Amino acid sequence: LPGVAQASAAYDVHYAAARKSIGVAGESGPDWYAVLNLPPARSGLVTHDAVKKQYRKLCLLVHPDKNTSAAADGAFKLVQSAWDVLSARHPSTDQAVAYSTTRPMRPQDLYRTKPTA
Amino acid sequence: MLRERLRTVGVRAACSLASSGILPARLFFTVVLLFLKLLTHTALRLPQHRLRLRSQQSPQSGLGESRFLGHLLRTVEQACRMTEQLYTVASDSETTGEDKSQMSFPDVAIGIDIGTSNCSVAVWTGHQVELLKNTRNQKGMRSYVMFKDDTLSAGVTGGATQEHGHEERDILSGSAIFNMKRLIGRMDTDEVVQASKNLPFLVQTLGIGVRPFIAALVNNMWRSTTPEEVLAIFLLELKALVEMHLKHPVRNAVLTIPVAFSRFQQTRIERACAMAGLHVLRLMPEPTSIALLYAQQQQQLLHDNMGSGIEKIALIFNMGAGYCDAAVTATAGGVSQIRALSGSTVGGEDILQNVMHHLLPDFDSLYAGQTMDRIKSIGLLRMATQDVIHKLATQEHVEINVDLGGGHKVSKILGRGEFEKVNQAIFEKCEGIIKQCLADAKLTPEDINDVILVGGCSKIPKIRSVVLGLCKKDDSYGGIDPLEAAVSGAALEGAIASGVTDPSGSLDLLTIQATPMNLGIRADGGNFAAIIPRNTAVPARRDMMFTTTHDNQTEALIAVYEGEGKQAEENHLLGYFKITDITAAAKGTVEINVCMDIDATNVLRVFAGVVKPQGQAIPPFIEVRMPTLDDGHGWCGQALAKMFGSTLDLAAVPKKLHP
Repeated sequence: LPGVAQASAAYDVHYAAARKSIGVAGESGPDWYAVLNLPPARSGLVTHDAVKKQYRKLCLLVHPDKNTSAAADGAFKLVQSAWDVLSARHPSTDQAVAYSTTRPMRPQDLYRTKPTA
Repeated sequence: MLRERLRTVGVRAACSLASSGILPARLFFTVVLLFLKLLTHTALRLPQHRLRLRSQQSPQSGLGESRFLGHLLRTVEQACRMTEQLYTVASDSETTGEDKSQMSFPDVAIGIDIGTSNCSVAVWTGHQVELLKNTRNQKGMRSYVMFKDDTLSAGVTGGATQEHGHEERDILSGSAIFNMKRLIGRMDTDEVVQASKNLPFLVQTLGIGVRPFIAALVNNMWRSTTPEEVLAIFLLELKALVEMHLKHPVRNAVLTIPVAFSRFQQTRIERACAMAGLHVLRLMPEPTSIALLYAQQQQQLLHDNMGSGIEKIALIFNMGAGYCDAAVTATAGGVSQIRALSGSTVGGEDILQNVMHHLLPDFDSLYAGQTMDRIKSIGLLRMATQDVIHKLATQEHVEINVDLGGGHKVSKILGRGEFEKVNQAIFEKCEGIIKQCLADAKLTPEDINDVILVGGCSKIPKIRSVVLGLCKKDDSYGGIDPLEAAVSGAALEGAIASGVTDPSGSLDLLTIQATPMNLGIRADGGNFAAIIPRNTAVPARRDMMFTTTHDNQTEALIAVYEGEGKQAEENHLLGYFKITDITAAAKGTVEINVCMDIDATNVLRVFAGVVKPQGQAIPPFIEVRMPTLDDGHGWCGQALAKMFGSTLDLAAVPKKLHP
């Protein structure tokens, strides 16, 4: 029975996104940390590299090329949204420098990735 | 074992039933899936075992051993097939077809690179990509179709003659149609079509935004055809070649396309494939297929403990005869993510035309009518010019001596400096494409690890120096063959998208595609509101809020465009539809949601409907698959504007900041 591990990963993503975020102040929509299966933001363990690593891992599991289940398409979109939000929230060190020297963060940078679905 | 598998299957069937739409069942899933995960470990062992056997069998040569293994393999395969059949019965839902293709090897999609001038085909053989050769032992076949009395022959088998020189002369005799890739899906107002009027076959334009009239010379008569038809004939011959090699029918294909292709042009390619009996599994922008190949090589290095495993960023520049594309890709762990894509319709054909005009300045006035003499002369000049350009890649000066007939002669010595001056505009355009790509990826030249140069034009010294200069590199990445990269990547993607797995891990790859152009609708007067901006990872879904622009407006027009222009009219119109029965209200109070969705096979769907005010009287959302326009889309936008003016207009609602 091929592809079950992938299918279950895709459903896990949907499940994580469907739960309301608990305890994160002033935030609506899914808990993106949970979507990427990362420790909660307040733990302070989340770094840019950790986000990136987890994002890549999930892409290999839920991208529709790799995953024939019906949930793959939606799961990938959720993982992508999570990556867009979290990579902006946890910029890599040289990226952070680049941003501060070129231009301030605009609101659309943060909110163009409004949760979908 | 069998009983266990059946149980898994039952759960799985329930799963896929629920997934077809009932969202609240999510919690139920996780319970089911925990159960599933436990079962998977036992269930997965069987097919893995089979794959390991296959891989062991293929490379070795000992006969007795292989026979024994073959026998073992057959038994295991039979067992597999039995369970597979049971499985098919148990869940006749969405996954059966795809899972079947995973199991039976012959359904692996082939990779096809249809170039403007050359075409090649490759296939995943089980452990590597193999480029197929035609009867003349060529990997790259000239892309053309020859029209003769009743027979058609494409460049795959070499057309009428066997020798290269003759082939080239035949192609330019007027009886052959080539450059399909530049003509397909274009309107007669397009400048690329206008420039194609210099080709030896007939390209007639009316300049009103309809498809051009194309014809080949057969027995001194112009016989009409279409670029789709020509491409289909070519693909049919290509398919026959592949089937001869593989000894089984071929159904699925992955094709590479230029970044600059509009969605309308993509549908034309799909239509040509359908005419040839091929199902298009994926249309890949050329640089992304090269990115996939690069990711595989990096992954290989990692396996051999030579790579570092750190993210590597590569700039891919691909310039062929018809198009030029650039991409920035970030690769790590076999996942290659396309950061930015850009492309344009400049290519070797433009360089050729420029040089032809330079060699014979009164080219246009001399050859005004389409007579037999003219076709012959242009053909001679084309061949001589091609030869010069090829030689200029290695030589500083090239001498040309060609008699065009009718008292016209070209005798000249062309230097490389002169050649570069003539094509200055083209090189500048290439520069622009790369600069835009780097800016879109938010990277500086210092961030680039590798520069990959591919395509026929990457041999031109000036192109190399321009690209390498912009990226501040001394040399390009060497591990990739510039002419075979695109097709190899397509074949890899064909294997991956067909669900083939390789026990050695050489298919644990993924390219995350990105959208090459902004997708949006007309709003705020004639402006273009991008809903999915370019370089968004695919599959993607984005939405945007719009509102009415008139009091008591009950209908709104959603006109979907694709392109880079700020004004809607500068972009390609993909389709349009109306939202009706909007509750009459003051302007700006109604909220209309427009959502765009691109799935993994790159199909674009647009959803639109009223979300505020809510109530019972609200009509259902409309879902439209794009592009809806079939032909003559050039004047549709104007007709819409003439008919409705601004009465059905929408205005974008600025995104509210989240609390």
